[in-house]
Amino acid sequence: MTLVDRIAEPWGERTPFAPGANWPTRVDAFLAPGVDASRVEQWVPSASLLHSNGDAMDIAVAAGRIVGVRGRAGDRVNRGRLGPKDLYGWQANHFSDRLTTPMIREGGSLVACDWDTAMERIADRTRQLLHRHGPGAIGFYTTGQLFLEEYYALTVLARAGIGTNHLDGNTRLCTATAGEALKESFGSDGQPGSYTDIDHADVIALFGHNVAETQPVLWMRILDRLAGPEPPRLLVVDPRRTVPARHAAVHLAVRPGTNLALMNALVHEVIRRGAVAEDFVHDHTIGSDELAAAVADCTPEWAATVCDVPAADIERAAELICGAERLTSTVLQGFYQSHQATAAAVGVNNLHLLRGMLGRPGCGVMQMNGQPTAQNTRECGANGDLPGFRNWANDQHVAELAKLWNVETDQIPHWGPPTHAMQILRYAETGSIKMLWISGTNPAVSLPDLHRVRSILSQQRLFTVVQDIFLTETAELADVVLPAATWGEKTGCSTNADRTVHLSQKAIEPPGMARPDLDIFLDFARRMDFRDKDGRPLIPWTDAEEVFQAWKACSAGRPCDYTGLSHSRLRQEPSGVQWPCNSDHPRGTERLYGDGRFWAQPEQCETYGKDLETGAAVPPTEYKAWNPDGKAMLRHAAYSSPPEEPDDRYPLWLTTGRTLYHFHTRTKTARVPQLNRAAPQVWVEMSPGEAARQGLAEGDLAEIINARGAVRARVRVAYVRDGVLFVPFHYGYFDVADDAPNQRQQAGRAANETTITAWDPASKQPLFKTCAARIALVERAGGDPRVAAAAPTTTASAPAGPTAHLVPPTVGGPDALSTSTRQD
Amino acid sequence: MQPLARLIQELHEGERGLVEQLRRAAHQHRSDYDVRHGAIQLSGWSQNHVRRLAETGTRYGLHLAADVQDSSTGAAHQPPRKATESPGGGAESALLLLRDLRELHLAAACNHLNWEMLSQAAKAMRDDRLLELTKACQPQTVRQMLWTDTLIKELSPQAFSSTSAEYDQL
Repeated sequence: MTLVDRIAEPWGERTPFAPGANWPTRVDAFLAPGVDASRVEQWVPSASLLHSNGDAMDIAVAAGRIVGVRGRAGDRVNRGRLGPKDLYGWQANHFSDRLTTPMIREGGSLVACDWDTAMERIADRTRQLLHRHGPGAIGFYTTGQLFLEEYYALTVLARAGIGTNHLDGNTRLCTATAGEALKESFGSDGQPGSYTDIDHADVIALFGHNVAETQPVLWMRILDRLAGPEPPRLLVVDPRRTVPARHAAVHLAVRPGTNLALMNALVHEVIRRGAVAEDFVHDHTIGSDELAAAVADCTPEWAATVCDVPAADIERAAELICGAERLTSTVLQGFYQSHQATAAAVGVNNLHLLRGMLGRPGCGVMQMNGQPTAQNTRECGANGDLPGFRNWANDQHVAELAKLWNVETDQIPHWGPPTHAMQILRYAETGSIKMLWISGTNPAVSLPDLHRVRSILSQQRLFTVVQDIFLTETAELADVVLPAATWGEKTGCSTNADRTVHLSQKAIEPPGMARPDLDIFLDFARRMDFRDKDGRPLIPWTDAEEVFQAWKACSAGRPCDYTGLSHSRLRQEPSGVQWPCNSDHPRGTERLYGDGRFWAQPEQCETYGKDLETGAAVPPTEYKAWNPDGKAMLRHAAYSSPPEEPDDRYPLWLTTGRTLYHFHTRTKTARVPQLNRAAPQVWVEMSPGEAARQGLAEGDLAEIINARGAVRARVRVAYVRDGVLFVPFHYGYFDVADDAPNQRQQAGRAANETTITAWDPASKQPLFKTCAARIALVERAGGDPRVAAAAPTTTASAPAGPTAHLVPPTVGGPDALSTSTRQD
Repeated sequence: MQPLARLIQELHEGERGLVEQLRRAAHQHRSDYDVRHGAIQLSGWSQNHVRRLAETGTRYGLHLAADVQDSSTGAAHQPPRKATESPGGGAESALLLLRDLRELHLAAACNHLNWEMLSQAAKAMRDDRLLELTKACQPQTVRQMLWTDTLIKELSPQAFSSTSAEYDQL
């Protein structure tokens, strides 16, 4: 057993392994300082919350409180390892300012009340709106951080109970492109690959995916391959020199907003070099001729001018991809939060289809998620899809749901695609949505163009319900605030980015009057007295296990088939289980599509597809004629420039992103001392060359400005492309003394003061990665290393340039010592 | 003027008109991002059709303008209007948007049929260069129609149901 400061060493020590070998076990644990393992009364099985990796962990409980966590040795996902946010993040559960009572707005301010008062106020308003304006006046905006059962209950409540088309989640900001890209290529959502592909791959390509910070345990797996015999070679596409980029054989630091140009050039090269798996492509795909024609002119030289990277580097990237025998690719926000997001992500799918590298060990595509249960929102249809990956445009699929819920088909909105989050916001802006119920997310910090978002959420005519665990910036604007229980305080399932299902069990009681989100939704359903067409309660469930049983029936026969799972089985399994899990696959399914069969037949597919350039829906008849046999689809789009580019007034690219030590808007991680100390304040990264050009130095206080707003941050001179500013999006206002939320538009702390209202036409995912800005000095640091930017030195924000050595390294200190135990 | 030249001229006029209509829509409805972004993009396609028709027209003795002057002063790039600028006017603007989308669709459909005629004429007259032009442009016109159709399908339910103040009396 070794003691490791996991703030200073986020990925811990190496346990190297050879290709195809078992990843060695290393059990990471952290107990609150002063707590001895012998004092732990109970270890309660759960899974990680503050990212999408789905690391199995046990919660240590003593005297009714969480006192620590430990990774689970036998689990396929992490083999005992935990990331820094897993190790320390649980402390937020016990933070003193948790919401403990419901609140309602009276005379302009929020006042505490009991559950009856709050819930009746919501039910009254709902009934009134349904009566006067119909279900289209009511919208729901949820999250990627509740449990499967909570999403399914919410979906049935919204779609069949209220009958509204307006239900989406913040997964729109994070995972919408993953789902859309999978649908466009394979006919249905569903992650083709598995984390175990890392164990076998000889080339790993990370497309806009800073895995070291977003999924640290997955990065540990890659690091352990890199440290072992016959290591894989890495290809990294990222405008920043991230930690993975430092380990890369080829790093393409492309100009923001040019991902699709690069992908088209890589596809061009795969074809030109004759690396296409002709038999696979012939037997299992359609569209190869059209794709080849579309990229015929997309040479590396052409892409080099668009992406502003050397053509030789694009050639080297193509060599890696064409020479790979086992190619594993992952994709995340660098692609998803850019314009032409779906087209670029589909480009990665195309590489794998052309090379015939799918469904075999080491040959996996992973369109990643950011949040722990983003996958569940997608399955359960709380994300702007129908449950079970059903197709809203397929009457048969809607009829299946109507039968399952025993409601008339017309009760379920299916006359168009479910309304996406940005359009829900637009309807609220123009007044046709009059009530918005926000659960587990903080749009007043996380949505783009915050001045607009605040003006919408603070409208008198909009009734807002916010259900959360702390008084977030969004909750401050609410008409009703509902205190929720969180991870560790309730039971439910979470499914990670490689389809692994875990059961997270309740370890302790929630504080005060806080309740599980499921109980809140069920309470509302009871008050509304939703009935099926025979007059029986539509939502008769009383706990998570009952909802899970209902969900199993909904998932039966669909790609995400859960019929082989139950809470009791998941309680007994030593490891999480990957769906589909049914009578055909009782042990679960490691990889999809190994048999070259897809869920793309017209009667089975989740969508008939979209025009990737315009977002126009492909007519069903056209899809049926094009892809009658349900093959995988090679789709394409032409590169076009982003909607906003630097100009004379705003000459720099502004890109936003995340850091290892924080999650979302810091609602939890700001309340965890070890994590918050590592990154307590917002910063702005710029290259040494750019800093010199702008007359700025490490630690200078600067203002980042554009037409939408401004952000004040200290400068971190770092490894990022010249001409690009990077600002982490985590920082909001709840932990700064400030004016009322409405006054916060000027010189704010939230990166989204400056981001643009724009999104990908197919996935509707907003652009957080490309907009234009300028930067101006506010106050000199004067070379004083004590005012260096408060940015981590361990990650992509590591200092660069002549002053790098003056920046004190990020360390956790005595209260961050964790244990790591190897079990060979 | 030869009938074929007249058709090319008519199509050129139709594509020019669509460029202008799309630019106007992008400006008028700039707070609806799907409309603004799509309209700017699709106006680029029609602008390209205009240029290629002008080039082709010279072979038929026509002197057609290759560009469509942007009279909207780059309005499509102006920041969106704020919610507060249209208090209670949302319902009306949603209906106005649907009407504009309908007009865009009809203009694209007219162009589509003209392309159809031109394509059939090119085949009958074994005019390979003309056929090549129609093959390059007509699919984009179809995609323009699918775009308007999609938006109308998506936006109509909310636009009409929300303007019915007493929903239960329907």
